[in-house]
Amino acid sequence: MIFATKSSIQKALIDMPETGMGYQFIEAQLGSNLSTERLIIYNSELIIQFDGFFNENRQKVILSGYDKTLKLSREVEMRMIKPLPASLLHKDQSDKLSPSSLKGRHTGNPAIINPITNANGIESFVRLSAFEDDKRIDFLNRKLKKGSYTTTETDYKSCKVHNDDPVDRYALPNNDNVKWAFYITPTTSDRLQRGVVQPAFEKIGGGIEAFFKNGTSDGTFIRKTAY
Amino acid sequence: MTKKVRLPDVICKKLLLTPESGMGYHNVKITLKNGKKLSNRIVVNSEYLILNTEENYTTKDFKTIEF
Repeated sequence: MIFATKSSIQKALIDMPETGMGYQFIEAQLGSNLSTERLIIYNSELIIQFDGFFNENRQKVILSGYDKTLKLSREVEMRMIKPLPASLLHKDQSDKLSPSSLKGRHTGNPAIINPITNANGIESFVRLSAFEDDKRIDFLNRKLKKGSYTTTETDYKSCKVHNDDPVDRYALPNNDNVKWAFYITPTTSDRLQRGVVQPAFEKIGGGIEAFFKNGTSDGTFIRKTAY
Repeated sequence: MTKKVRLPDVICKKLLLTPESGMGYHNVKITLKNGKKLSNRIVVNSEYLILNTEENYTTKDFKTIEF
């Protein structure tokens, strides 16, 4: 299940350390239950029960969008809040992701709920596509259009080095082969959110994703190569 | 090969102005001209709706899109 935290609880959560960037792994009594449950809290405000439906519920957040999910989620009381060690979380997750973790995949939050940062002007990003005329590339102004995703060049190289399946790594809905790689080097004025691709479309995910809400500056699309 | 159909230009233009749900795709709800609604569907490259194997829609069947 997915819930929202009450504002009275949010302050207590904010005062507690994060388990990872943007999330907390805790144990607490939820609602009127006397037994404790393991929970993942995003941004001190969205609660997902860490049970057998966790990945499914996390996917729902991705598909519906964080803000919309939060708005629609019922507020619930939490008591007896206790942070849990990250090692416990990693063990549980690695049980689900172990075959892929051997291929340099990652676990963590999706880009969309992570902080916005500026590009450093040097790092390159790669957009993978089955389409040579990818509609999110502005070929005229040589830039990435608003609201578009890429991965990092580093993760793209990791995918290639490990001979990994990009469709599964980036949880792409289209089972057609990835054929093209579009290289983007954003300027220092370009802003992005980084995260990890979440499981979706019966794919595991675990690749790095970068979301450019405002796209990138003119001239930042560097080249197109075959995958 | 994934079965898909190209959406009308007016819908493609709207997709291009809407943030993606993930690299190369949007999660959408589409309304057909006959009134039928297709929920939780995927559009790739801001232009192609992925179809189920039994579906045989054509470009002219689609009316509006929501996100």
